[in-house]
Amino acid sequence: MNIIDLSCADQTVVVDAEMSVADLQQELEEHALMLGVLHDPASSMPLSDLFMHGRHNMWQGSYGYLRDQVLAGNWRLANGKSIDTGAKVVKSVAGYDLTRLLIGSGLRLAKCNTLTLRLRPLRRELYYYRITLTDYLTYSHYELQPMSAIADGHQHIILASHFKLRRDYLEVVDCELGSRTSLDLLRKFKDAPGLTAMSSRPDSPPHPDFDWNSWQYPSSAINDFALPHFEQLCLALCPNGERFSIE
Amino acid sequence: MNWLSQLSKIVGEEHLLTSAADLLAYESDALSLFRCEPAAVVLPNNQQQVVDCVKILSAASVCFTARGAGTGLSAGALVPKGGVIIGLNRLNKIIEVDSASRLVVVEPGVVNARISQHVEEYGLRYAPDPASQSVCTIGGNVAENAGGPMCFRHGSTTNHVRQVKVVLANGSVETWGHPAHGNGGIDLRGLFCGSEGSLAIALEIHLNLTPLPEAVSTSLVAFESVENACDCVSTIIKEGIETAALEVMDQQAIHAVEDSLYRSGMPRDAGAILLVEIEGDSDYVKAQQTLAEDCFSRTGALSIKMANTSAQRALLWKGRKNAGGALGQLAPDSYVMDGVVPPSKLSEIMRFVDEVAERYELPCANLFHAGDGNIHPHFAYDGSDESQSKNVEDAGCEILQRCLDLGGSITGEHGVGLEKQHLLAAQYGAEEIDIMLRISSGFNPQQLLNPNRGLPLGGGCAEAFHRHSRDVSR
Repeated sequence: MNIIDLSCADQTVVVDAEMSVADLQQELEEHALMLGVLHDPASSMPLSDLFMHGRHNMWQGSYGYLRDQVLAGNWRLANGKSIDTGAKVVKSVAGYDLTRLLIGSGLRLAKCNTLTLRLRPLRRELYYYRITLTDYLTYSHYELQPMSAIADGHQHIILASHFKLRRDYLEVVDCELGSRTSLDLLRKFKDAPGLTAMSSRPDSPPHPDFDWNSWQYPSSAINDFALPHFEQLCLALCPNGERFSIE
Repeated sequence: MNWLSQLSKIVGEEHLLTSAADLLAYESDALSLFRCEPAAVVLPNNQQQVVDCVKILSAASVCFTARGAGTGLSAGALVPKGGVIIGLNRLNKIIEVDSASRLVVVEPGVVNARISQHVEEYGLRYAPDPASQSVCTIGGNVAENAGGPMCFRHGSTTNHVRQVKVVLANGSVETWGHPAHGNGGIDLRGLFCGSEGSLAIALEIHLNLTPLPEAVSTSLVAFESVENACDCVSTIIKEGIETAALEVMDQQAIHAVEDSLYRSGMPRDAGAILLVEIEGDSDYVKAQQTLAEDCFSRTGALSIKMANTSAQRALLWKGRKNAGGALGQLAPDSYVMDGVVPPSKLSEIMRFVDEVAERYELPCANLFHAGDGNIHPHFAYDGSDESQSKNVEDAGCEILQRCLDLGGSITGEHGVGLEKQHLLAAQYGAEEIDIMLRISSGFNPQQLLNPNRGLPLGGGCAEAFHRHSRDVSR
């Protein structure tokens, strides 16, 4: 469960898919690099779990969707065969994009052995803002970068970003809380009385505790069984009909 | 009633092209090495007409290929002999802008650059910017997963597509992806992007918009050689300086631009120029620019020209964006290659490109997305000279094989098309290729929709690096 190949000059890393996100980020930090995802430093969530379940990247606006971080992979199919997808470069359009097909498939089409990930220069500073929900919704399109948000009783939003807000936006909301070099501030808000986490989906009830996982879109892949092409894709991957058992 | 009459009934006689003169423009895309005249071109003007045309052609077992502006560079939007091109240029509506959600919904015939112009008033833009963005269309961009200079920072087309409404080869209409966040579990949206029109035809596309930056810094840095410029790129990346674009042009490309209508004041005596763009908030841009300038001087910059106004910035970019056009004026034909290497291997691959060009006695100019390691050697040649054509193809094969040897890819943004069908098996193993072919057969069982484009023919994996035939009528 280690880094297999780190290329600082190319900002790519090949990793064992069972390595934890936190361990990877910690190792990358020593090389002034990072993966462009906001993660819980105390979590042992493996990379395969983060990437394979169609979750939401809380820093999507800054660094893209989770699937955008994955350049290539080595996968095990249900028939036991191993395949390689993608390329170890940030751009490749050779053939069908099997990496994106498999990422987010909830491990139903393939299990990932290794992942090749795109890295970013480490940004040590985080900026936090607390603004009203109304302001956020009204002015969100002015943001330099979209940010992660947690709601304080649905009235306020705490924003955590590597980027400073645009000045014209700050003039409107006048709300900078300050900057820190770690995620401690978010943990502080976790312990604040009355704080509830807002689900990323407005139709879901707020989570009673601050739970990092609740901030990520739960996998919608379960519905993919109903996809007209699900069986077709399974057969494309394993023409003899082998399937992974559903946990 | 035969299928031509049925198509005519749907779109009107004037929008069904069958004369040799009308079809001439559709016999190739921007890669003129491959040509095949279609039997007809049909030009629907709404989504339902596209669906109806697909149903008619499918029922008649006639091959068909969707096409936008025809700016593709891999012969992806050609149709086999007897087939029909479905031109999507008339589906050019911007259907909806949701600025708060940073979303725009467009039809496939909308020209790329028009989107950014349209949403500028909201402080937004559409980030992917292929060189042909003033004419190329979003449908083609999605089909090829188009890139461009800004993709170093913002990602290629697939990173910006949230949802697509498509018509399959059998005429059924489906929606893939999600309008809010693009996540949808098994990512048919992602599979579709870059599938070169061989799985379905886009009818409606939901795209991410990106906020316009508060500040932008653009520098044009002159170097003695391409190698020095590449060293500078490596240094910038190693130092962790976040740039939006890192573009290199060699002296041949500089001269072509400066001798053309697109001259933008590039230093003619430079061996190469590096165009560097940094964007973000003002303080951030200033700080990163200072760091970048340090990299410029450490790697032997001869001169630095900064854009202080948006007009100056546009001028600096004018030369780069139009370099392909300027190079096209140098010879009757031009072959624009597309390969990728890890950025740390740029110097090595550029030395190899020079060596190959010299060995084959081919005039070659280079402009490339250095941050991505995405090279675009331009070979000028005369297509009527068979030996020159063969040399161009062979030289291209050698360069792409070296890209693979260096850990890269045979294509970063142009796609496989017909051009690289024979090379795909050099990048992937037999199992991966077979999976792609089975996926293609699943969505396109009769192989009527852009048949076999982007994939090796017949599933064979032993064809790698054999010179291909230019007979595309199969």
